[in-house]
Amino acid sequence: MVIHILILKKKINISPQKRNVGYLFQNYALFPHLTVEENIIFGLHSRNNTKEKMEEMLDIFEIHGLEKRYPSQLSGGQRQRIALARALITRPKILLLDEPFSSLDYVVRMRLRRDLRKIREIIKIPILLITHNPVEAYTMADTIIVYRHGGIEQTGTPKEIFSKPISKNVAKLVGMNNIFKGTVLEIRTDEVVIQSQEKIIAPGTEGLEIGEEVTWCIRPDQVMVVREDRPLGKAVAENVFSGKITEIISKGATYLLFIDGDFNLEIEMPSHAFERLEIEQGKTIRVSLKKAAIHIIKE
Amino acid sequence: MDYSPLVLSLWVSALATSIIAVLGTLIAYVLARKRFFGRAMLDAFTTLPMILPPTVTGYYLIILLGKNGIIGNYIYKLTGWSVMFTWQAAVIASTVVAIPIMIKSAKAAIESVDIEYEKAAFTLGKSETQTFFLVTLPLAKKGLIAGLVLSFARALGEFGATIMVAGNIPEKTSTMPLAIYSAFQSGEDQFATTLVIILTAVSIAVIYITTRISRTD
Repeated sequence: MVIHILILKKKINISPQKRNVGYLFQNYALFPHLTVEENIIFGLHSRNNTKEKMEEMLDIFEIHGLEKRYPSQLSGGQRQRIALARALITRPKILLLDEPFSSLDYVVRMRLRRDLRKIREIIKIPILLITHNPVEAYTMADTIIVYRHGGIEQTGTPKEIFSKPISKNVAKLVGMNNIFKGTVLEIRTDEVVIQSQEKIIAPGTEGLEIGEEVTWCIRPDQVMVVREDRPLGKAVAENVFSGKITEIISKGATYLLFIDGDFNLEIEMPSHAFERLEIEQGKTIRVSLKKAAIHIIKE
Repeated sequence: MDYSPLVLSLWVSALATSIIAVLGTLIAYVLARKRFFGRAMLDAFTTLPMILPPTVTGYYLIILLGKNGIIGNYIYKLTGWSVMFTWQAAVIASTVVAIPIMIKSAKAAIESVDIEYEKAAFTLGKSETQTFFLVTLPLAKKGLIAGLVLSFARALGEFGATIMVAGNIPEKTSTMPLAIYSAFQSGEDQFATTLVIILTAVSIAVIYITTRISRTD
């Protein structure tokens, strides 16, 4: 959609001055010799309604009272809001953000997210956000485009990208860290059997053929640890394997376990479950790969 | 006392500095921001007058601008006038000898301006010329002024190239350094001393001003 606006309607390679694209620089690039006010109105061509336009920006970004200050007298979050105001006062056709969150602390980050949502409502222009952080993309975007080596790997809604990655690279990017190869053994009505190190039951996937080489993957948080001494409930009755814990990493609210066994798996589990199951390094545990959470990639 | 050397020197140096301000800044900007074939050549060529003995620079200027010179002969044919041995020649000599100093410090000053600021101005719809005057120039201001002050001082003290192309004609082309030389040769020690003191005072003032400019933020 964005590409159509920029390229199809006009020729490519027009000079930056004529592009009418709002761009937020990673270091904001506020002019150090100009005041906040002079920075914000820098891009206006005519002096008509300068005051009204600036007031509007001051309102949107809640930066009243800073007009006479210089960029060196501002905090990082203030600078970013002023850089946004400067970019948006000229009413560009699109706003480009180059990793805007990367150098901000958590609180300022949250504030910026809120600001960006507000801009979308008030100014109603497409915003193109470049990020290396999949979670950021997930929480901010309507559409995610995964880029790799200068080419588009996958385009879709955040949900599509995160639950149905079309390649191993996208799967890794969205955190489907358990990735294995296999061969299609059997196709049933709503499930398929895949032969890897062991047989895996996966949900039915269109377009598969028996004997086809596929890649399948599962998120670490979808690998369930099941107690040895309990009968298996229906939900975890399929794809049960065992493995020895080789490493435990605490992430605060959750724990990461790495196990060696039928499959070398990464498991993410909540702290309370971790404590209840008395998990420790070297112990052998039973795990279940939830059928519904297994995703098949045809490559 | 004859004040003509002082007046002439100030006039010649002021004119040379004005030319240097425009031309030197332009060349420095091109060298700092543009990538083109022959850039290294331009850089070396504009540095040359700083390295060459001024008499050599003066000699080249004669080859270029003399009555039979590469450019000078056309000017002479067209107008019957030659720039040689006029105060204008002193201005040209001072400009050529002093401009490398301006180019060097202006280039460094412009290069020290983060190019992101210029890019930001472009994305805000400003042309390259507007960006130069609104962003680059104000941010490089300190270095540019320092370069101009030093260039003025160099122009004021110019001797070698000036005597080659402008001669040493009293009240016409005899600038202070030339007048000091003549006065000393003809035994007018008092006159020479006065001019020496004036030039020394101006030089000290220049050093003081440039250090102050580069110190204040």
